[in-house]
Amino acid sequence: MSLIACARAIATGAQTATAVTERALSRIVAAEPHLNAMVHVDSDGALAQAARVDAAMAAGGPLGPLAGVPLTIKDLIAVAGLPLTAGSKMLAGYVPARDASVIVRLRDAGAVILGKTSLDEFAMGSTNETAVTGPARNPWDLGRVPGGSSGGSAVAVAAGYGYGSLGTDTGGSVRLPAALCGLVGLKPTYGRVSRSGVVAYASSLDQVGPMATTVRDAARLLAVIAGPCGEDATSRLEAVADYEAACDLPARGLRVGVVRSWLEGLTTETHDAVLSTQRRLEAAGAVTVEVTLPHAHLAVPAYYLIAMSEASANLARYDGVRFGHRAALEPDDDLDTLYARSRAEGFGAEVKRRIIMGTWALSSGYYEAYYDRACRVRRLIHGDLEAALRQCDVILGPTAPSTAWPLGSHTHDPVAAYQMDIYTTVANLAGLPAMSVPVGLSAGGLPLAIQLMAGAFDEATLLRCAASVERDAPALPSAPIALARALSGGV
Amino acid sequence: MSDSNAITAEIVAKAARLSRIALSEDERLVMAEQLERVRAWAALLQDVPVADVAPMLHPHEGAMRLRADEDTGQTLTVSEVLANAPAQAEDHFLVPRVVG
Repeated sequence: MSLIACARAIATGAQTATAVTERALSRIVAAEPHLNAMVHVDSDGALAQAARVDAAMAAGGPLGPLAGVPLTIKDLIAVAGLPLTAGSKMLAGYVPARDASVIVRLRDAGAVILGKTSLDEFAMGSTNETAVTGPARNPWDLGRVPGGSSGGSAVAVAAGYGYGSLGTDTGGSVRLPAALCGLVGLKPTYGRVSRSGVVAYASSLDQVGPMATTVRDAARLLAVIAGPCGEDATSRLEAVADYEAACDLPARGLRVGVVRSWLEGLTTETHDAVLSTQRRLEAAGAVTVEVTLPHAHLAVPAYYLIAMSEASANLARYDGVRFGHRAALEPDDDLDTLYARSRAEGFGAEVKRRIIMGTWALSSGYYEAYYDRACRVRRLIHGDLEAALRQCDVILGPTAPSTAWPLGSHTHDPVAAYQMDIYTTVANLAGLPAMSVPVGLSAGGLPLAIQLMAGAFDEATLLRCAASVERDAPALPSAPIALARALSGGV
Repeated sequence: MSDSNAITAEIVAKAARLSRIALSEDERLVMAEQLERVRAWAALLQDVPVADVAPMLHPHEGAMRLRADEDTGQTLTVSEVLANAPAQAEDHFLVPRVVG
């Protein structure tokens, strides 16, 4: 059942919110030993919210667009009263006093929050393997990564822990796990969704985005969380379009840009998935336009230099004083020792690597050659996309170079791991909306996906095209086969 | 970029000190090797002519929107702020002695 079908079943009285929530919680209990996707499950809070929805339904009161729908939340987003770890030992035991703005909007829409999902530590990773709680496992093949950093959210939705999730996307962290787990994942335009109450990684790149099983489900979630927010000075005033209505529009007349150079370096099946999608869009009446992105091959190193530099500043707040891990000190230890030892103990290896690399890239003697240069390349990439999007309405390409890869493949080679973001980082650098859409399974039974990108604040066109892709693509099985086998006692 | 920019264990030690992250000698050596690999890969950017290109720091440059300078009524209480403090006393955060 989709998120929209679940909301309709509750709104029409066909199902109660309590029954739907109990089913989702039972699913978590059964599947978590196999998947490790949840950091915290709030059964009592979820059932209390479901009971409130049922009471409102019985009283004939108005119900919000997500009334009674169980959802999960990436553990980088503050939910008042629930632990917020950011996947790190650094924030063990931290409990925020207030909801993030996106959570306030979900609650106002009637959503039921099941709990918090696993992520790469401080959202720094593409595989979910740097999570302090250990990697979540891909429900399509338990020996493979779910993608990251919002890997727990992707696993939760794919495994039926509720009907959607909120992730965050700094360089592809919503789209990549969505692609690897057979879901729709949408990174909105920078400024479309409030970042207030979201743990900052790289502030000029971070956006919250929905993950769901259908395009229309993602459209509904986006409609709820999008819009200006007084608590985020980077949130923007542009009107929020009717995203669900956009899903009903045909692809006929859409100009779809294709980047030839993006078809190199893909596995055969991913390559064919992009080309098949292009052909299906053409059959639906879209027009293909060849476009070029001459600087796109520079996006990943530019992205990492910028993200690491911003992270080195953002993560300076973890000092062992106001919140977070604090090292045990000897009587004569000074404040600097408190900082250095608390941060050494609290942060994992990848987070330390990125903070120290970012500090180096911002330091005297290296700033011009690295951080400043990366920011100039960022403008070139932005210019490439602006020029391309004058010739087309959306750009079609891959989300990832391949389907999900085995756990542990890139553990000792950071550069190889960073290259998995090759097709996703351009949208973050330019601040543009982009989404991953599933387009069937590989011969090995793993989800295949494509990525679409559109102009700033044009999520409606993105969703219109994505809905067409979804309508015409081979459907995925209703549940991941590997997980079903594990749950039935098989290997 | 020439190797004069190569990241050595000494450079890692300096950046770690600036980052306030304690590293052992072994950790510095491993990190220097890993970060140098990242730097060498990022050196791809050095060949791009960018002298006439302004740095892009943010997707919406110059568009920062400030709210009215007034009380939103949403200030955290002292007990809410201190609830997550690892060490506190008498409504204050505790730190090692800073002045003599």
